Amino acid sequence: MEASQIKQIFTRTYNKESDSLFRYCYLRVHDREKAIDIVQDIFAELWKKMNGGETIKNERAYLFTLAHNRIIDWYRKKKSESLDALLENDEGERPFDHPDERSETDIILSSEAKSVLKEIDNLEPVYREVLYLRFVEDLSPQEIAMILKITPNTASVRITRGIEKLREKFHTQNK
Amino acid sequence: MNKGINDIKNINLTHSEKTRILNNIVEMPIVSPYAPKQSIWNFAFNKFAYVTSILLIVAMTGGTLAYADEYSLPGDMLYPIKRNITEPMHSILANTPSARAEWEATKAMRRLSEAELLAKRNDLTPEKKTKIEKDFKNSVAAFRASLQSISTSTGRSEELGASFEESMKNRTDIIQRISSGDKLEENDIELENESENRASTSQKESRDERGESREGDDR
Repeated sequence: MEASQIKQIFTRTYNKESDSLFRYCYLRVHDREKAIDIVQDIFAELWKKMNGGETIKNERAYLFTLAHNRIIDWYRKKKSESLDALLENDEGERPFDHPDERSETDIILSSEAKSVLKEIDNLEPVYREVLYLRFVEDLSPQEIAMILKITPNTASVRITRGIEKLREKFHTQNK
Repeated sequence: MNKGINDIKNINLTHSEKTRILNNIVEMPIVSPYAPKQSIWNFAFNKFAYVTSILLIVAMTGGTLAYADEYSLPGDMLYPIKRNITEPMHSILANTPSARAEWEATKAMRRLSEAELLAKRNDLTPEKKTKIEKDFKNSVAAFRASLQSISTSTGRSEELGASFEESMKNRTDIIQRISSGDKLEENDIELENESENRASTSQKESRDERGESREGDDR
């Protein structure tokens, strides 16, 4: 493959996936510039792989896996919580951002968006990320399984149970 | 719930952020395995070989030549060495966006100093003026492009931008006089050099302070 072809394919993937990855990172690191840095880092990794002649079967799952790992690395570096706490919390699964008070540079979320993130966050850690990836980023159970290093069957079970729990919460809330 | 999900999906990168990230990535120096193999005769064009050769020459000549050409002006015998060897070498060694921006700002200021000195000597011919103006504009453009690549979370980009603006402000009067073709006197240059020294001293002090605060943070 020629360099121009690689660039063309890379740009297409970048344009398609960069917003999803930014959103995924932003909602977890709560800092726009940091999220941008992580997104740049992830795509730089893909760029190197493509230029190194490697073929990636599922680029979307690959990019989200990198994002997932980078976010865990970021939390570890941040040292706001101990590594033990990270491991206790289901192997590094982090809550999604839904604060009410935001700084001026941050994105302002609607009350409905905050409510969804809050309810997802209130779920048990095993359901949080699968539900976010399934319903916000529209990833398939197979892709989610690749990202979280679980079996597709486990991912499907978690999605189904997570939906049930989420329904219960919204149902209770609307009563 | 669907509205909430749709609202979350509206969290996106801005167009300029998207373009900035893409440009930063595709400009990364990566050698593709599909790129044609270079022959041994391409040694002269190899970046590493280029720097090594220059360092060797500089070491062999005791650095005298490199030192002397730093003070050369357009039209001088050593000026091509300054523009085509020592300055590109600096550019190669400035391998971070911040270092690149700093170096391009220095280069832009060098061009202005050259124009000032030539104007003082009454040797700023239209050809030399056009060439210096072109080089100056290129350096300013490269400086601005490098600033875009610096992560905004560090505040370094704003700092470098402010420092450059300050240096330019100090030279406004001289630039205007050169543009209008006025003859410069000896003390004009001294005055400008003095203000430039003051600017670089304050920049150094701010760097030292930053270094101290970083050390403090590390502790």
